[in-house]
Amino acid sequence: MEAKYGDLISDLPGLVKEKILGHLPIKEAIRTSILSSKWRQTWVSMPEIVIRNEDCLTCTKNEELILSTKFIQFMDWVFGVHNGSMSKFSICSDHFSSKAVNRWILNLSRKQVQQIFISLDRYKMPSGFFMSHTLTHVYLEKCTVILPAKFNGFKMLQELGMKFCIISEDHFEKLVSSSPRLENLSLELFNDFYMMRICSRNLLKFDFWGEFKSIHLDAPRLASVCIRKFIPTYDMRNGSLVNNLESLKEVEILEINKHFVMDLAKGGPINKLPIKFEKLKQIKIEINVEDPKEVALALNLFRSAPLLEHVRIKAYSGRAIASVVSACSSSATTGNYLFEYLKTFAIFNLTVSESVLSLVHLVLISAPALKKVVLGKVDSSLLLNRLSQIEKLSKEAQIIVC
Amino acid sequence: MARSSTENMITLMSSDGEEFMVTEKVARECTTIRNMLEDDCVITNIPLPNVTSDILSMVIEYCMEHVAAAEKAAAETAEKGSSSAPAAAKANKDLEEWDKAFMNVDVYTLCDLILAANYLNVSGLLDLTIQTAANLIKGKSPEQIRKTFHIQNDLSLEEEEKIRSQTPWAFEKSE
Repeated sequence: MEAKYGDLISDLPGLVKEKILGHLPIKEAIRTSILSSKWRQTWVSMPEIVIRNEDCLTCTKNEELILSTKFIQFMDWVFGVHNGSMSKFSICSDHFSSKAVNRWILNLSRKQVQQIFISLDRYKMPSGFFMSHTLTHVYLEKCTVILPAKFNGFKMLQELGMKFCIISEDHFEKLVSSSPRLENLSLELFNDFYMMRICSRNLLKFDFWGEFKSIHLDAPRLASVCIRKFIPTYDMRNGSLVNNLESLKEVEILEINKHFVMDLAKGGPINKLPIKFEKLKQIKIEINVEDPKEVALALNLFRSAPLLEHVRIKAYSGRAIASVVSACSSSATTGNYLFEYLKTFAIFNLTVSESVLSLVHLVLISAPALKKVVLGKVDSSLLLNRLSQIEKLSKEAQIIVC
Repeated sequence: MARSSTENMITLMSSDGEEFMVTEKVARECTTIRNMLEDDCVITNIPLPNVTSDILSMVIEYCMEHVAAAEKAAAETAEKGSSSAPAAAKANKDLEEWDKAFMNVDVYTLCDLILAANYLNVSGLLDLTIQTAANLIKGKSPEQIRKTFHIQNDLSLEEEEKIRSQTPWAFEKSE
């Protein structure tokens, strides 16, 4: 066997060998240079360098400092010898001086870096980072972002993620608006924004977890939006938040949590939304079924989305909303069905109550294409009995309790 | 695998002349083949001169398993409106277990699989095999790695010393 096969791994294509090294701790990847002449130069053109916490620290506490100094020297050497482009650089550690990381990042801008992942506590992004014009993916964690005065934008950037980062409103706005290819933006922010402005021609997906008092969205291609706020903070002085929904008219998937729903219900007219969501197919929403304003908002949202297929409601309270529901159902019968294309309707965390019953009732009588109604955490068969008496518009509709 | 649908079947021919009939969907897992099909949609017989029959059958086995898993997940999503998190997690874990068992091969087969996955451009299989190879290297001394993969050390003592002296820290014993 051995004579027939011999050493197969050394003769794998260079790109494949480099990929194997990319899965090793950096120290071990470089150690392969000693295996044989066929491995000596392999790491030098490795396109991905990933530095994990454990890569530089394998010993006891007292040795930490010496080790990180040694590791920094080692990495400086690596950057000096590395030859070719480096498509991905990732560093996740708490043990480096900013100065050292600044040096490496400056090197990256000359190496046509495309993807940068940085998770460093209170690390201030160096100006060299903002000169990396080849960047397509950026993910920053726990960093401080201050744009240099002559920031020209990231012309190739497609994906930007920031978690627990500190950035000012103005700089955030500029960072987004000067990245013309940005498609995917995900934020989990540390600092609160008073006014969050997003102006992006090509943004397709926006995922937000954090705080703002008000939001201004100008992103005509947005297809998927998820907004989760920690607390409701809507500031009435800033006019109607509902009008802001106008920039969501191309959205296909919408997810909003209860605090943002509260904001929306508080601001602006709730009896009619200013626009139709012509492409909206999926809604995930948390509502207080006790608050008529929120229920009305949710129903208006459904009514403004003629192509709606999937609804998932997390209800967190439950008293009578029967009057609102019946008002909507009567208006629904005048024109087309309220839920013309609705296929699935799911509602979770509910307690059996009249309000829930009326909501499900409304869905059953106004959704001709309905296939499933999923009721989560229902503790009584009473509801099912009541629902089974309703004449469903869709013959295929099934009620599932889980 | 009994399917009553009218799916297109494609014949893949290994370097040693063995023929494998697969559904178009399975064949499309290989990006290389998918590109061929997109360039010329009437193609039904594809010779693969770089892949032997024993390796090709493994690649097909991998693709079939992953297509089946994806179909099952899609069916579940359609049924419930959205996939339930615990069920999806379990399915993922099952597939991971399957992958792990699938990777229980000797280093020669592993290297052949890497080559085939690279040539056919099956990204999942390429990632899996590369990770497996990396795991065989991780934490081992150069001597152990050479032994595992039958690598002949052709460096002279002087050359080896030179490499070590450039990055002494990389070669320090970490224990």
